[in-house]
This record gives sequence, structure tokens and C-alpha cells, in this order.
Amino acid sequence: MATLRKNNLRKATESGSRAILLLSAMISIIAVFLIIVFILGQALPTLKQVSLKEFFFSTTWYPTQDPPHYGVASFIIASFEVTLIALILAIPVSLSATIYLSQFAKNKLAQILRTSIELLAGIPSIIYGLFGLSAIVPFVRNIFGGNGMSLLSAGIILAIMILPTIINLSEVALSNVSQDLINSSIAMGATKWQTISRIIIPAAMSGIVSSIVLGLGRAIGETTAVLLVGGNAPVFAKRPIDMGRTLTMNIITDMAYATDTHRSALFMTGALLLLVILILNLCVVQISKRKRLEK
Amino acid sequence: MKDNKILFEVENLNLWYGASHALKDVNLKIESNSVTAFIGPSGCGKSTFLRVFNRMNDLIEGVKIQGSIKLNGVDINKDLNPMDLRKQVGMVFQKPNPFPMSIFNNVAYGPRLYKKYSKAEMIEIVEKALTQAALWDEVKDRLDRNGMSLSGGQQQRLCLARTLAVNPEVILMDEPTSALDPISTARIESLITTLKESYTIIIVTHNMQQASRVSDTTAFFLIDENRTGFLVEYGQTNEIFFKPRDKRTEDYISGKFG
Amino acid sequence: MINRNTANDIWIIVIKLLSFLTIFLLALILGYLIFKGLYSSKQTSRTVLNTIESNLDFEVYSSKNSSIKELDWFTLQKMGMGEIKNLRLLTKENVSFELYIEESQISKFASYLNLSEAQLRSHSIKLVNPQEITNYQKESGKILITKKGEKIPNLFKKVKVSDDVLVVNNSVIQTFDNKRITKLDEKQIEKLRNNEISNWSQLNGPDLNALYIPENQINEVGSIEGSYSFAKAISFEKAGNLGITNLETLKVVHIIKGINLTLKYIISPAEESGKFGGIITIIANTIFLVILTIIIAGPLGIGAAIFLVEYAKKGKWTQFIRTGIDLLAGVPSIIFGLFGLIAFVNFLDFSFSLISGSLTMSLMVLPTIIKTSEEALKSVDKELISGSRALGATKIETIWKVVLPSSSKGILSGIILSIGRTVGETAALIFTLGSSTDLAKNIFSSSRSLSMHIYLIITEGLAINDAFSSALLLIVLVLIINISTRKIMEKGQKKNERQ
Repeated sequence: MATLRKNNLRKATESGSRAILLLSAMISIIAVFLIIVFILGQALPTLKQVSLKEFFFSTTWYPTQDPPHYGVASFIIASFEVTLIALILAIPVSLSATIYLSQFAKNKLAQILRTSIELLAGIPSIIYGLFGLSAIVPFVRNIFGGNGMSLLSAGIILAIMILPTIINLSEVALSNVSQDLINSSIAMGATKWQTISRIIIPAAMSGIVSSIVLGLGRAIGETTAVLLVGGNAPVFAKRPIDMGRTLTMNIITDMAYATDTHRSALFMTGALLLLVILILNLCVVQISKRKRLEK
Repeated sequence: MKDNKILFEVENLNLWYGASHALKDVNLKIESNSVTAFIGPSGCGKSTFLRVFNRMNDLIEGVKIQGSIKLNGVDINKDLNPMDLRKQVGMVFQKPNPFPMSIFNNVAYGPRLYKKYSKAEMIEIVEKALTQAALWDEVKDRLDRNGMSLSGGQQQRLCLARTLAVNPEVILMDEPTSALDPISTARIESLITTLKESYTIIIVTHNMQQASRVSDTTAFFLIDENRTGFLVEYGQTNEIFFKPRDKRTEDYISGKFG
Repeated sequence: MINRNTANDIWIIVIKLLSFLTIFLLALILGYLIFKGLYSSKQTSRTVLNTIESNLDFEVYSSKNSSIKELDWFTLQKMGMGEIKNLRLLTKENVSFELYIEESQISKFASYLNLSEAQLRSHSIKLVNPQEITNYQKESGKILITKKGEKIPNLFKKVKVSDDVLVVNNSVIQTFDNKRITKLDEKQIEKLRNNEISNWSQLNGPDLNALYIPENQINEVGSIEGSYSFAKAISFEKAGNLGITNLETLKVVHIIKGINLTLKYIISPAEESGKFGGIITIIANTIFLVILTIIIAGPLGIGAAIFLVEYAKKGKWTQFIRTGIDLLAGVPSIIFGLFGLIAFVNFLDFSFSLISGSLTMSLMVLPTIIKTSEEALKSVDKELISGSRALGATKIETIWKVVLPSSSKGILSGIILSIGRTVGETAALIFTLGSSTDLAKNIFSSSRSLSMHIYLIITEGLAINDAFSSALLLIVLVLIINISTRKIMEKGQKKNERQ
């Protein structure tokens, strides 16, 4: 009798546990849902005062003027520019490091490279910002003129920050290229570079693209590092060496004192950011799903 | 033996994987325009020995070679660049592995490594190679289809065409039909017989019947008590199979082991 | 046409160079920050030059553990006049100041400072008896004026007094061509002392002949254009008191070198919102944040991983959950900050507090914990599991007693990674944690983490040296976290290999 009761208890524990675990697993998707709902909820009131057209296409951001202007176009362009600079600088370096790690990776030097990448990935963004502020900004000032605080400085720092992101995922892609394929290429007399450029990289292309998209997402979403080196001037930055403000910088700067429509406009900026990143991440999921199906 | 010139001369070849002695004191000569088969039980080092001819063992960490192999009198380890060697000595692997590109580009891959060809030149080369590999008729209408969409046997012939397109002197084949069905196997075997008029072929096979069907000369390898491979007997195929000089050869042929 | 072998060699060199750029960047960043964190070099300008020869007829001491090593005449004068009540502006230590003078030295000290004895006595200086000095305790904040050659106990250390100034006619510092000189560096002062300068334009000054006036004729400097004199500060003041106009001083660029991050800084509490004091309260708050975050996110993340590995069936639903985790991992930190602001600070009314910050951070680190735990759980030996089930254990019992213990190393490494992430996070916490530098009293207290502290120092325009010292500490912490994660993973791998 006691055994039956004990068994019933164990069975109940079993199904109860399963329910709890299911709930834990659901938290992520619930959280994503809530984030979208809350942010949109705070963002939508903006539309009562500002037309979508003005918000997205006007470069005038002057929330404290009378009448106030809420155009984030300059920030969209600045975010875009900064990300572009970061990608242009980061992709060659990341790809080189990835190729080195997967194709030449036998010696101690490769181990040091791997450790360096891990450490770079672990450095907090505020530290990157501090480094950018005290070392990169004067450097840019000396070479390119201007203030030094600029979209260019922000792009440079972002490039360093996204190196690990791109390298890690690309490396997986490169190492998944079948060794048979590589051997066939070598057996035909191809040089190392010919095999890399004609067989390995094309075969790993979808993984490489995914990694770049992830790096892009990281760059667009970065706040503290760009804030300290970008200059934060809420106007349209004509050249990369001008000071500018990205979407993220806009949110963190004004949020402390914004009220009403100003505040909802900031949430609108956040919603835009969130939307872009969610789309980018969904693309990555799609790409890897398609790759898996191909196999 | 026919009065053909000696293509490969192997003298006292020894090979180590790190500390493990994989091949011991191999000596043999390969004639041009012949088919040579390497046979022996698993693990006796015949695939390793095959890879010595195009220096594919260089890709493995810790490999050491002693002795000499000469191709047309030139030492392939000391006096030849491995990439130039592989242009002259091609290889077909056990598992068919076409590149993930069109049939045309698969065959064109090799020649394009060395120089730029015009479209017309390339088409000519591709057609010639596919014809030699007895694949042209089957794929001539779908050259832009992905190479991996072909059947197993077709893929292997594609790999052969790929190798032929570079116009090597020698073709190495590492168990080329062990992953194929009997019909595809038969097709490849008849190809080998045709190809030997223009090329020299060395084939590793664990199938003795195949060796006796296609090869002119056969080399029989065994593994000794130290797990080192060595050459037991090397000679004309019908002698090896019907009048072997070494008792171990006779035992292997008659199926007493292996 | 480049031969393909040459092309190969060139490309390989390019690849190697760019790869090593990565290592170089890391070394650059770490090296730069470690250097700045340890060694600060602040450039200020001050009126008083370094004294060539000391001709005081009394001696000045400061408390042994004070950071005062030298004083200038003007500061000493202020101390004598009772204008300095607290040392914080001089040394950043929040200690009250006391001036002790030996009875016998009062008149000498007064005349040195161009004050009357009465003035000195009227401001709360403390008279001191040489014999009593040994009774004094070690605390900082004391300046002691004693007889020359007097034996002073080890509680005090000697302080250098600088009282030289460079007096110039005000024509020297006038604006010309839209610029003017207000300060010189040590080298330029040296040249001036060695009579190597005949015209002020050699020092980037106006085109005036530089005329040297000896100290005892200092009043002349007021009337001759381009004239200068190296004089004692007291002479300068006296001249001013006599009504000589057109006298100015040229400041000297003064570099204060010193150790930036000190043990003292680490263990002292923060005072006045980080303007003074150390960072131990901030470190403590950061630790609280981390613990709270792990308590919340740990079980949730591990639970989710268990579900995915042991219970989930391959299908649309599981794919849905996994996509959710990937999406959550991609959300930028500032969006988490905004969400935390609305959901925890406002909606749940937790206000800016530890709990708001931890809840926000939990969401951020959840994907990391889930992914690493999943890896760890998957690599558990299947035979162990079937062995346990064969003995009659239920699934959950097997998980609890067999699977979790064997995957503990992998799970632990995921937790440690999350700790690193939490410690380094700024944007998400700005909107949720608060900004107080005091020790948090409970989970509803406002507080700040180490990363936030660095951010706030920079954006509030406070001493950037503090930013560097806190940054160094943060980097060391992060490095330790990183290395521990690796060590744990390696040990875990070795264990698997043995099995």
C-alpha cells in the first residue's frame, strides 16, 4: 500500500517536473514576445503626434523645440555608416583569422590566436569605449583631422568588437567543409590558396554569410562603446570624420530626461532597432535551416 | 615485360607515421602505359604507398619518408614541387566526391588552376575528358546541372573525367569501385583497360578478382609482426595469380587469409 | 601575369598578417589599459615652480599614510589662514585637516607665509609640544611644522615645500595674433634659468626682449616690458601688496605621476557619488547583482536545457522554442534596458533597484546558460542514463541524480560566462539598476555596478584616472572569469576522455 502511494508520488513528481521544465523552456519565447509588445506599446503613441513619414525620413531631431521635431533619418544613416565601416574593416581580418585557424591551425601560434579571440570577445563594451575614447579618438584626430570623435572612430571600435562574432561562426562553417573535397582539390595540384578560394570558401559561404549578418546585428545594437567615441551630435553627419549619433546613442542619451511624446519617440527608435535585429536573426536561422536541409 | 620505358622507380622506400613504421624497404619499378594493382589485407599499407606517388601523405602530420621515388628520373620528394607533381599524377578516390558545382565546372576545375582558357577551348577540353571517362553522352545535355545530382557510378566517372582534364601521365586509383554497384564497377574496369593506352594506371584494390581482370602487373603487400607493411612479391599479374613464387602470396590468393 | 605559386605565397602572407593583427589588437588594448590603470600621469599647471634649493628654517611633515608629498607656498598659506578644512581637494581623501605647529616655530612660520602671528593663532591651529608628538596616532590629515633638525617619529614623513615663482611683466602674457602664453614646460623654464632666452618669441611668446631682473629688484618687473624674475612667492605677494601693478606669474606645466589603481582604492568605500573614496561598495553591489542574477537565471536556464535535451520531441514546437532562444540572444542590450525599465521598474513597480537589474540581466544571460547547459547535458554518457532507468528510476530522478552531476562542469562554465557578461554589462543596467554608490541594503535598493561606474565617471566628466583604475580592475576580473571557464572546460574534457 505504501509502495503504491510512493509510486503515485513519483509519477506525480515526474509529470509536475515536466511541466515546470516546459515552462522554463518557454520563458525565452515568452520574453521575446513581451519585449516586442511592451516596446511597441510604448512606441505607438508617438504616431499620434508624428507621422511615420516624418519620423523615418526627416533629419531634424529637435524634441525640445516648439514645435518639436522627431526625425530619426540622420540616426538611421549614422547607424548604417558606422556598421558599414565596421564590416569593411572586420571582414578581411576575420576571414583571414578564420582561414588561418582552420587551415594552418597546427602550431602554438594558432592556440595564441584562439585565446586572443576569446579574450577579445570577453572584454566589456564600456572598456572598448574607454579605449576608443583615449586611444582611437586622438589617433583619428591626428591622421584625419577634425575632432577625433567621429563615426569613423565608432566604426573602428565596432570592427574590433565584432571580430570574434564573425570568426567563431565562420570557423565552424569552414571546418565543416568535407575533407574529401579538399583532398580532391589538392590531388589535382591546386595551391593552398587556390583550394581555399575556389573550394573551401564557396562551400562554407552560407555559414560565412550568417556570421557576417550576426556581426552586423551586433554592430547595430552596440551602445556604450559608440556613445563614447561617436561624438553624439544629433545632426546629420556629412562625412565619416564628423561627429554623429546612431539610433542606440539617441536612445541612451535622451532617455534620462525624456517625457511624453519625446519618450515614446525614443521607444519608437528602440522598436525600429528591435525590428531590424529580429529580421536579421530570423535570416540567420533561415540560412542555417536551408543549409541543414541541403545536407 | 613489354619493352616500355620505366616511369616510376622506387628504391628502398620507408615511411613512418610519427614513431610507427608503416612501410619498409619497398623496391619496384612501374612501366608507362601499364596497369599496376596493389593488393593485400587491410592495414598492410597499400593505400599509404599509393599516396606516396602523389605526395598526398605530406598532408598528414608527422610523416617521414626515406628512400627515393623517381618519376622519369626526377626525385619527386627532393627535386619536384608537390603541386607540379600532382599535375602529372592524378588521383581518383574511393568515395566519389564531385565538387558542389556544375558538371562542366567540375571538369573545368583542374585546367583552370593552371591557366586561363577561352570558352571555346574549355568546352573542347571538357568534352574530351568526359568522353574519355565514358560519361559525355549521358550528361552532354545537362552540363550545368550540379555534379552531385548524378548517380554514384556517374559521379565516380565524373571524378575520373576531372582528373583526365588535366592530362596527367599517371592516374592513381584508391579502391575506386568499392562504393559502387556491380554494373558501375564493370564500366569503370573497362574504362581502365581503355585508358591504359594513353595513361599509366596504379590501382589499389581489396578485390582480387578485379586485380586479376584489369592489371598487367601486381604488387602484393603484407604486414609483419611489428605492424609494418612490406612488399612480398611483385610481378606479372598472371604469374602472381597462377604461379606465385612466395608461399604467402599463394596463401593469400587462395583465400587462406585476408 | 603572376605565377600561381607567387600568388599563393602572397595571399598566404596577407592571411597571416591579418590574422596576427587580431593578436596585436588584443595586446594593444590590454597593454594600454593596464598601463593607464596602473600608472597615471596627470598634467596640470601650477603657479609654483619646483624649488632649486630649500631654505626653510623649519620643517614640514605630513601624516605618514597621507598622499601629500609636496606642498606649494600658496596652499601652505591657505592652511595657515584656516581656509582648508578638508584635504579632499588636494588628495581626494575625505579627511579633515589639522595643522600642528611647534610653539617655537610660530613666528618663523608666520613670517614665511607673510602672515602675522596673531593671524596664525586665531585660526584653529594646534600648538604642539615636541614630546607629545609620539602620542599621536597614524591617521592622515595632519601637517606638522617643527624645528629644523628635530627628531620626528615614524608617524610622519617629510614634505617638500616649493615656493619659487616666475614673475613676469604682464606684457609677456598679453594676447598677440590671437594667442598667448600662460604656461611653460620644464625644459623652457630650464632655458630661461640658463639665460638661453633673449626674446619671448623663442618660447612661443610675443616679440619682446626677455630681460632678467634679480629678485631683490622685483618691483622693476612691473615697469619694464618683457622683464622677468625668479622670485620667492612671498616676494611676489609683497610686491603686490605694495601696489606694484603689471606683475603676473607664468605657470609651469606640472605632471603628477603616480600609481593609479591602489589596494586602498579598491577597499575604500565610495563617497559622494564616486567623486571621492574608493570602490568597495560598488564591487559589493556588483557581487550582489551577480548572485541575484544567477539565482534567477540559473535554474530557469538549466531547466530549459533539460527540457530541450530530455523531453522535447523533434517538431515545429521545439523549433519554435529554439528560435525564441536564438532571437533572445540577439536582442541588443539597450532594448533589454528599455524593456526592464517598462516591465520591472515601472510596471512591477520595483523602481531602480537590484531586483530590476537582476531580472533584466537574467533575460540577457538566459540564452547563454541554456546553450552551454544543453551542450553539457548532451555529452553525458548514454549508458549512464540507461543504467539508471534500468534500475527503475523515473526520468526526473535520473536527471537529478545522474545527468546533472555528470554535466555539472559544462553547466558551471556557462554560469561563469554569464557572470562575466553581467559584470561587463552597462546599457541594460543604466535604465534598471539605479546609480547609487552606497552599499545596497536590500534587493530594492538602488545601486551601481562596476561597469556602470566607469560609464558614469566618463559621462559625468569626473577624473578619468578613476575610470582607468576601475577599468583595470574590471579587466582583471573578466580575465580571471575567462581563464576559469577555460580551465573548467578543459578539466571536463579530460574527464570525458578518461571515460
